[in-house]
Amino acid sequence: MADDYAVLRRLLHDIRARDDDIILRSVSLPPNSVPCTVAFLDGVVNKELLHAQVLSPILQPEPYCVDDPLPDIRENLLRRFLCVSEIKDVSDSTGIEKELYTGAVVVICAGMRGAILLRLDGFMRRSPGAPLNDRTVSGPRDSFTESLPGNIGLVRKKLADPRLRVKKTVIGRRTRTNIALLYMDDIALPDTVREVERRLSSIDIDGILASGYIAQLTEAPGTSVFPTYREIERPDIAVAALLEGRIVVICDHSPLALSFPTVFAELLQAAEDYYEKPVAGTFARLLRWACFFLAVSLPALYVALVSFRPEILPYDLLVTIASLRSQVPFPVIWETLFIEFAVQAIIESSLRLPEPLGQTIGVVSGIIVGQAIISASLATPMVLIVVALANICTFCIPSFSLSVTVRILRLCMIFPAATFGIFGFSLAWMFLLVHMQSLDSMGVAYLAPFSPHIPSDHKDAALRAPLQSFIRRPKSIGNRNTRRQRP
Amino acid sequence: MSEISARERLTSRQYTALLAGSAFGAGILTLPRYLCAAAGQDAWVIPLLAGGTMCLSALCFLRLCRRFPGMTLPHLMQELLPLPLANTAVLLYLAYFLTVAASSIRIVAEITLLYLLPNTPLWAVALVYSLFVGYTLSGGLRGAGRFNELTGFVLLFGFLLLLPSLREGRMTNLAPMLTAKPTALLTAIPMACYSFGISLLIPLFLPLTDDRSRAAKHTWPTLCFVVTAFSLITLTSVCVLGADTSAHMLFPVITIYKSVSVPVIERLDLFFLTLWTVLAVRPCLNFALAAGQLSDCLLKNRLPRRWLSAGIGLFLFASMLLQTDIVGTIRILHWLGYVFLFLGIVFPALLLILSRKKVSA
Repeated sequence: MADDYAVLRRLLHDIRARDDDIILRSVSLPPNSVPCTVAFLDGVVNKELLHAQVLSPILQPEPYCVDDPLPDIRENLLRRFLCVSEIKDVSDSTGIEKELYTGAVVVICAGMRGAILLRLDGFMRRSPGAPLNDRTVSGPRDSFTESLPGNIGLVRKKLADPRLRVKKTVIGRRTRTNIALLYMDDIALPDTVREVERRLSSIDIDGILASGYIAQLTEAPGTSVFPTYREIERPDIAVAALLEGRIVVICDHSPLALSFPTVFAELLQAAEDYYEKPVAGTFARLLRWACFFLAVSLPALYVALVSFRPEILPYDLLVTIASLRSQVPFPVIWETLFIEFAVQAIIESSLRLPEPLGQTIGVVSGIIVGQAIISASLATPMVLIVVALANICTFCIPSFSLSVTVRILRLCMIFPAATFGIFGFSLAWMFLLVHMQSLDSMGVAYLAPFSPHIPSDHKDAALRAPLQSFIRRPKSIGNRNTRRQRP
Repeated sequence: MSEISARERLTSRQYTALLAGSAFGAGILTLPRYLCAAAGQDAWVIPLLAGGTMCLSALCFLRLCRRFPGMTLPHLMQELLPLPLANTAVLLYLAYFLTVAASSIRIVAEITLLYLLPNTPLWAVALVYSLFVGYTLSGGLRGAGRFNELTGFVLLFGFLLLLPSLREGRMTNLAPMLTAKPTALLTAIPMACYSFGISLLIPLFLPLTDDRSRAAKHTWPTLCFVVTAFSLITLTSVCVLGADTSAHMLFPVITIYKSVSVPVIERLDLFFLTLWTVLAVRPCLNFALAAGQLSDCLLKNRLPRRWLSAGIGLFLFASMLLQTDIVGTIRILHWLGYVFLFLGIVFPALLLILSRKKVSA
């Protein structure tokens, strides 16, 4: 028994010699002054809690602990001295080393096998604030943070159902990132749960730094620019997804959860849609669908019409465009690409710069540079309007991943439109549609409920029907318990 | 592709859309001209009669499908005929499907050149279409099914756009009614038959649906819809343009769209053409998909789907360029109408007799 302590103590000293942020504290356990060592990682463990719940009870024991010790050292330690809720036993040295680096407090004691691991996380965490992207006026304003337990707690608080299952796993050989899989036991399809679990377990990577890693690594093989997952920033959306039979994956150190399976229509939905009247929700959704189409198409359509079929445009507009175009020395495609590139660069720089500076850059580049481009006859105001409008439409898309996709697609659409005019434009859209309908998210068709056509799901796709009509859960996702409310 | 088909199923809705979508392509744009030339103001009767042959063919295939549930046409032939004969028959069907696909895509490419891209070389447009077909085929049966389902509504919308043109029509153009000679009508039927070759797709796709009995029930309304739509469009053409004018126009239906004035949309014909140039690829796609199924059967699933799709795309591109001109292409399609009478009626009837003997034995 005593040998185990010596071995583990040597191990901890070796680790300490290697890494300066490992702290070792040797104490004597009363009443027989049994040697004890406490090891932890500096900056990760809450020292105040460590003092109050571990060291203080040992160094300043209560009288009954001294007078009436338990015969077994481990039991004595657990029942008399350690006031910590999350305790785990580990016997092998590799396990102890791994857990120490994940932030556990290691307690070893002479006469005890293995080590006791305590969780006293003290890493700096921010409190749940308002979401950055998916903001609402009438809905709740809390959002996920970087803490996995905290995020699970936020979901549990909103979904007080014992059938909510939380399965934890560790992914990342080196980062040892905790991942939680949440689903409703009686709603989610077991096959889908198994599929998500399978894909998670198949990940073998050295590090998971954010949920985006999980999202990409769980996607089906093949290249697609479209996200087949939904990034969730808000616990209320996560709960709504769970109630529809979806599976939510939360990654430690990431403020975004992921939901599977995801259909395209979902990416154009926002939390606010459900908190307002159906008419307002439907209006907002239709607006977003129109914005998606315009965001992808506007510059390409402009190029196709001006280059190939100007006669479709109203005569007065055509004359205006022609007179403006006569001052610009470049073809329409170069003009459009130039402005598009400039706007994309402004957006990218605004995202990376500090907030006040980003806003200034936006204003300066938007007004001053835009004006200068027009004055220098590098582009017509019409192109500027078209590109700006397309970019404004992009910002109407609630999903950040989809908005990035749209920015890429917009550029890609310009080339077929410039080569084949309206024909190229419409064929490019058809390619896009064929590609989209070939996608699946965990076995669910990406374009459902449009293709395959599921009439009952249309009430919560591009439209938002009254909540009273949501009698059944979405059929496209598939679920075990189809009934949502009593008719 | 049949390997994929085994695990990928069509929904009955997708099957219906696929069947209906295979009829409306280049044929509907060119047919009124030839029907009017053959039967004058009674041209609208011919689609009804040709539709009858299609229904006869569909009846044979549906009975075969009921007798051998879950078996697609090539497997069915291998079951009923000696292997060399069955493989020859599969090759015949394959040649038919590929020729229909190549010819109809050539017509669509010509229309694109004529109305939308007069300065673009044919090979460029042909290449784009072939790429599209190849890419869609690589999605397999499910991809093609979903594409047909999704664009089915647009097709319906395209037809609805025709309705305002009837305001310009004269009912007197239809008079005197039913005076065409029966021989003229009978001669014109095979001409129309290539547009009704969709019944040949039934034994290839019906066995691959998730609910066969429901899909079989949906077959008849779909065929009725196709026949009615063809007849109505020919009728509209005669009403609006007159039989003589229709007979002298290469694409009378496109001219009808030119006559429609809808507020806001100033150039409806261009709007329609933009829609149609893409939608008209559907028959080509579906027949190419059928060709893919048959080739897969001949090659015993040894060729990966991507390679097969690329091969079909390339074949379509080459055979499109080999055809001399649009009139020649239309002539090929008319000959295919006669081939349809054999492959769609005579051959399945023979198979039906053989299957009856086999079942009773």
